Amino acid sequence: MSELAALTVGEASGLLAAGEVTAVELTEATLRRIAETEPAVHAYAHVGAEQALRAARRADAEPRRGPLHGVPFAVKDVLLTSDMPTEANSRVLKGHRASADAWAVARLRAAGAVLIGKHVTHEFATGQDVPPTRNPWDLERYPGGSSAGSGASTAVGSCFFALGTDAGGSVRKPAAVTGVVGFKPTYGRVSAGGTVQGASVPTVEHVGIFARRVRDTMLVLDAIAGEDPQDPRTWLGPPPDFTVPLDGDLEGTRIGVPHLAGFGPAPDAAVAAAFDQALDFLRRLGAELVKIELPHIELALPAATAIITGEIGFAHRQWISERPELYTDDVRRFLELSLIAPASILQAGYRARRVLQQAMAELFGTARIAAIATPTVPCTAMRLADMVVERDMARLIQYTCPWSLVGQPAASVPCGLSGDGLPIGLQIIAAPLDELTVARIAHRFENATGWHKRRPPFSAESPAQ
Amino acid sequence: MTNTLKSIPELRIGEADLALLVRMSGLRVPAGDLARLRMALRDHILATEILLAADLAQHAPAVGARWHV
Repeated sequence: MSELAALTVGEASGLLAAGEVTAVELTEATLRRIAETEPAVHAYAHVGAEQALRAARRADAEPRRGPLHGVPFAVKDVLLTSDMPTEANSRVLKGHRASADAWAVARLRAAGAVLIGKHVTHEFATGQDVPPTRNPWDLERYPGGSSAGSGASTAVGSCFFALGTDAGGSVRKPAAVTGVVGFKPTYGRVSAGGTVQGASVPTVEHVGIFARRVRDTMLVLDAIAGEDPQDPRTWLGPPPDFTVPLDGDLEGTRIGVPHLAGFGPAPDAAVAAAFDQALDFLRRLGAELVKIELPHIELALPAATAIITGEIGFAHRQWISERPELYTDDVRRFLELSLIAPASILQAGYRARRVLQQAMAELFGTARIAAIATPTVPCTAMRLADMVVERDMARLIQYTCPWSLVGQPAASVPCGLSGDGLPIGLQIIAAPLDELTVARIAHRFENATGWHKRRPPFSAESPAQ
Repeated sequence: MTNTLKSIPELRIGEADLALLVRMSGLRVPAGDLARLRMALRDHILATEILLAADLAQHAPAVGARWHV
């Protein structure tokens, strides 16, 4: 990987500000890295080289607008873009071009960032199929989903940061299994306006961020957080300054450690060991670890299932009736189920969510905790040949979906490698609207452990490892 | 959850029930897929039965996830 493509957002921004590199040079380096890695990784659904170079030239000619000015990024191909197709890995949307950018994409362009392409997702982000993207740590393994391309691309340096969407773990899960940071803010902190119809689950969807450092995710969040007048989900009041320093120790910070059995099957041995080591690190950094019970946690996965299944099908009514052959079979069957599922189940899911929201909010007060720590995913990346989506998906999201459901901010940060060299993620969750606590803990952990420095063994010279 | 599932082993969705649901939804489900869809609906109801069985009635309204600040 070239030195430029390996930079963090903060490092690239510093060089741009100092005039030591140009946006065009960063964009060209990213395009070269895409050319090197795509034949094996397949992280991109579309690369807009010409558009990106034009935007980079404009950025170089303009006064700097902020820390993202001139930095190349990519977005999951469910977020609308005015100058590139948005197909959601679906034949139904083949060639679809939007007239306007999704809210978050528009905010990033307004901040001077350079959109370089669209990342591969599961078909309509449903998680019912296996996308073409491969995990750069082992090309035979699952890259995570549904923001499949975003994690892999961030890991190999074919973008500086990326936007994904997360309704059950679709940002944190791919981040964990590809060894990068995945940050899901509070529900409504970032507008999901401009998520393509058919991939939208309105009451649980979040726009999240992939980057190689925690600090970078905060630079991006600062640019995209805030009210979207067209999206009432975002009417939360003005966001804080997310660019504040994250350094310092964790002295006196109480972190809740829940009994993992409440979430579902136990984690694999490698994940359990890495999680225990991560807790030791947090303790050494000054954190006070507190055993907690998560009330009603057994309702989380059924409630998420009820809501996602109930909400996803609406936009498909006409398409699936008129052109069912354009869907892959498993996705079509899932959407058909969505369209006939009883409304009472959806209502029960909403009520269960409210119960969980209230209980979790109370827990932070009664246990006097600033955050909760869990593994992100209970296993390392599965072999694609062994994977059965219908069987495996519930387990893959058991630690992440509760926080998408209740809307609390959560991030995955690298916390180790398994014996066979596969990344493992630590998940940090905070109270609603307290993204900065997540970021501070994750940043200090990252600095103390250095796991973020480990990159996939993949290189252009050894594409098959 | 296990107890809840055991409590409704008799859940059956008849072919006529499913046909009505499909017709009302405007779907064109291939004939060979109707049995699979019936099983998927049954599994979905069973997987979420814990929600219907839980005492959630007092936690009205069933609002969205937006935080009130």
